Amino acid sequence: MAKILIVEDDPALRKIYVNILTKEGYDVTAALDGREALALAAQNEPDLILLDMMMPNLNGIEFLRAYDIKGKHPGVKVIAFSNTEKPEFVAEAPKLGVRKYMTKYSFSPKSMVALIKETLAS
Amino acid sequence: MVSPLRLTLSQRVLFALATVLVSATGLAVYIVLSVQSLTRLSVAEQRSFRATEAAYQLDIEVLRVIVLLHQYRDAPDAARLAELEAGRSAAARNRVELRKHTQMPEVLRALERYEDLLPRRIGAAQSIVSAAQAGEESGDVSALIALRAQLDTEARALLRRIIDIEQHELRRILQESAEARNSFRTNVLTALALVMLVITGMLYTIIAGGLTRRLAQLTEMARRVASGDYSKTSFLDSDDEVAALARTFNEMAGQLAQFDKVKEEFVALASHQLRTPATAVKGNIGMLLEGYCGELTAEQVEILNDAYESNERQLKVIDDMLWVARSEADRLQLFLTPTDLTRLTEDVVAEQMPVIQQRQQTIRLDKPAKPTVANLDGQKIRMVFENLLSNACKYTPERGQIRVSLSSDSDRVDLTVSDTGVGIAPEDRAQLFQKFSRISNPLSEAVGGTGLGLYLANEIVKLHGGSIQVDSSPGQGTTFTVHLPRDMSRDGEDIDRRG
Repeated sequence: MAKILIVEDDPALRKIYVNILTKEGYDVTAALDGREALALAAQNEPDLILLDMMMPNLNGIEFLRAYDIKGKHPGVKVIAFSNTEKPEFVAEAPKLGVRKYMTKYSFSPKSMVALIKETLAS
Repeated sequence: MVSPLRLTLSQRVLFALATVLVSATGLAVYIVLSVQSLTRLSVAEQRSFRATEAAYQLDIEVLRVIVLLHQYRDAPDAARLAELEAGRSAAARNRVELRKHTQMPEVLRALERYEDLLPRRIGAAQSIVSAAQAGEESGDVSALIALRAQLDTEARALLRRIIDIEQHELRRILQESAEARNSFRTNVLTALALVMLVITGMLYTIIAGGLTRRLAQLTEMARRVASGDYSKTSFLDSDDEVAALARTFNEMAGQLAQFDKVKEEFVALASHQLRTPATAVKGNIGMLLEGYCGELTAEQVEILNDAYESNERQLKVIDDMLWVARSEADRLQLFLTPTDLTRLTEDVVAEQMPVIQQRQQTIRLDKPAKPTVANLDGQKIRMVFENLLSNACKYTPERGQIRVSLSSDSDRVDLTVSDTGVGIAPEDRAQLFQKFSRISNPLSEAVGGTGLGLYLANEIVKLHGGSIQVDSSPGQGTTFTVHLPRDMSRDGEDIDRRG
């Protein structure tokens, strides 16, 4: 099954995502900020990253710049999500390799899973 | 001389006043001096007049005396003698007047020569008078008469000469006087005109040049700040009160920009902090409802649904509040990207399906087969569609019909949401897009919401340069049509903006 890296600083949300995706049968790892995400992604390249944008230490955009998907990890798919629509993030994200950008609060578990499946298949 | 623009306003006003004062003083001095000189001329005029008059009178009296003498010779009588005496006295008086008033040395000299002749003439006259009284008619008397006549001729020649001179002088003085008065009048008027010009020039420099232009700049700045543009202007060309005002204004604009920034940051933070726990609740309840934790009893499902719904409402309220906060600051930034409206409409309808099914309503979606791309802020437009569709469902009774259609041409895109619901009364139409407007109708009591949905929808559509049209009547259902301009159209793949 596909490997998914969840990057989310809020513990409650992180727990939910891990729970759902594990039940769906994915190989799930979780990081609580950009720095940890870089470390985990380096150890074990994921197939898909579920990336929160607003995090302490290294936020989503900074992680993407450091991780350099287009250059170094072209096979990795990234879904970015956030609860704020910062225009700068929305603008830059696709340039850094983000496939989908969604807001967390409008997604039910099933629809999130559907989106992940769709993205992995593309 | 310091350039007028480098001084403060007060200094400039003082400078102007000083200039006016100096000009006025100059003018006053000129007037006083001119009046003095005109007065002098006037006095000279008077004297010349009197002298001329005296000269004429003298001549007349002398002639009278000569005639009287003749007459006395022919008919000596006492009355004539008295007249003769009177005439001589009159002539003497005129000589005195003439001497007193004349300003011509030549006249004085002529008068002297005349007076030199006088004793001989008087002597001859007296002898002639005596001879006439005695009745003598000798050859001596004839000689005396001849002498007298000769002397008279000489005397009169002198008098005529005096008259000529005085007349000439009078004319000259009158001329000079008239010229002086004219010249004075002209000069004063010119000077006044110049002073007026100077005053006007000063006022113009101070007001139009300095003040008006910069006050206009300040007003422009104030207007910009009032409409939310806090960028600064520089007033580098002066150092006065107006510049000080401008500096303070700049500071104020800076402060406002700062407050605005703080508010923006608050909004960003609040949205994150408020939404995160609510999202967690949504996720957790969603997991249970969607069967990730095994079967649930009907009661459990019902309770969880209620909790889920409350939480959804909460999320919606947070959304609305945060959008309004941004709208107020007028800094609603549109983030325009190519957006596929066909896909967006499908998504929104799909999301609303659970509610539609629950209320046993039917929905029909008319859309073009291929993507409809327009340059829009996808997330915000999605909000608009969601709002309209959600309203359609809410305000239509169970088993009602909803129709959504999407159409476009090269310039614009039109989305229509129509329902067979309760409709909107004409008197409520005006209020429809106002903040917090909730129209009372049988269904709306049961319907939740903050009353902000349509207000925000309208704001967003307007920001895109579009409009929302409403067609409705009570009991007949409602149709909302959203018109949006298409900035660009492009085929091909774009990044999805799901929200």
